[in-house]
Amino acid sequence: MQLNKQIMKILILSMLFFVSVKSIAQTPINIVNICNGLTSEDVSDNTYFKDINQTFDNYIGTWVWTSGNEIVTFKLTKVTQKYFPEERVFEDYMIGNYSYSTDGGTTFIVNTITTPTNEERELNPMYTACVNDDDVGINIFAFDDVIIDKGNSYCTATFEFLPNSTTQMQVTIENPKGPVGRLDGQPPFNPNFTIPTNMIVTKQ
Amino acid sequence: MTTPVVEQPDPCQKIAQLKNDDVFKQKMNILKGAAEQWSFEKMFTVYDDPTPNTEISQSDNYDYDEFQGTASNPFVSWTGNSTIKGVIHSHYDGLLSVPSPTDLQDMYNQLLTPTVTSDFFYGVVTHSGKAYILQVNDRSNFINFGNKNLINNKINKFIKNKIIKKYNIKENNTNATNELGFVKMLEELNVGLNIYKATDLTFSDYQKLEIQNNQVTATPCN
Repeated sequence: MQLNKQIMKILILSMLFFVSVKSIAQTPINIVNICNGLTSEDVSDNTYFKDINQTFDNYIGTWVWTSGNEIVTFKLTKVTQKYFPEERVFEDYMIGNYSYSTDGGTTFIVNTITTPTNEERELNPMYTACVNDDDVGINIFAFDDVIIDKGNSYCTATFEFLPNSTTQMQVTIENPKGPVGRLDGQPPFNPNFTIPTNMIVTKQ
Repeated sequence: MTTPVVEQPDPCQKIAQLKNDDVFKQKMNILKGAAEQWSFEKMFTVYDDPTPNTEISQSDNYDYDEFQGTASNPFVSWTGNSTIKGVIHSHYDGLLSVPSPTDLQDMYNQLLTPTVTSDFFYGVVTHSGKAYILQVNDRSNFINFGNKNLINNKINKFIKNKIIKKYNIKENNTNATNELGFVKMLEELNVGLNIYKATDLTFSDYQKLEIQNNQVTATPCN
């Protein structure tokens, strides 16, 4: 009986220990700005790379382009204080999803927009780490065409606010600015995109 | 007790064959013209020539395939096989005056193919009148660097956080500023590449670039 009590006590203390360690491990202890030139290797564990200046906020939301029956919708989402266990840091970043319809929204050529949005950056076709200081009003996302396989090549979707506007942006989707090679019979890089590549989107 | 002297390999050994090859110099000169005049990229893939010409002033150790972009798609899409020895291409006005992150990504993609040899090189002639050649120093380091920075869901952060913010490499910077940032980046991030710069646009001599006291130092390849 006495032995059982001691075992129970050890079990409870062990559980409390692991719970407390887990909560400490997932609490930011140091906050720095995103894209300050540092990475997880340069900072202490549990540092939070935070969008201190709220540079992402103007881009958050649903943005739509229409032309006749064509509709392109972008859903841009800010993810905050996401913990990366391998790097042992927290980060803010943005992800994006998109849809394209050519029949007024009845059916879709492509649609990656889901509810709720999955916050994992690898599971979304658009991602941006930050807005660079020099790029006032411009946010460049990595863009993955989920229909056309472009392999490991850095395609981008650039969102740039129109002059004096907070509700309209020019969107430009581009192939890598550099050579893209394929060896040993792999099909050549496909320069096309599934969705239009130049459009002005309006905030919904 | 004396410390044994370890002979360092000649850092320019790999570049010597390129700088002494007359046809290679002609190809670099063609890229110089493209960088100055075109608004899209031009490139050559480089392969060993099974029947090289070694005559003086006509030396030709390589075979080439030629590719170029278009005004509407200025990047170059190229194909080849894994006996490839290198890639040389142009950066027109508006692109970086040094090798770009997407150049590194293309180089990384090719070196993931095990049959591409580690003497694979990647050259660029830029609109600013400079020419650089990247060569693998440590393939394992380069692949590790690529895994962390050059795959699609990581390169955006690498470009914004490291290339632009930390190393100040931008399209509208001077070549000297970009060169300093690029060479520092190669060394500090242990990228596993050496960089060589043509001393002039005859492409007859190169210098190995390194960082000392926060400055670029150039060691001639004689």
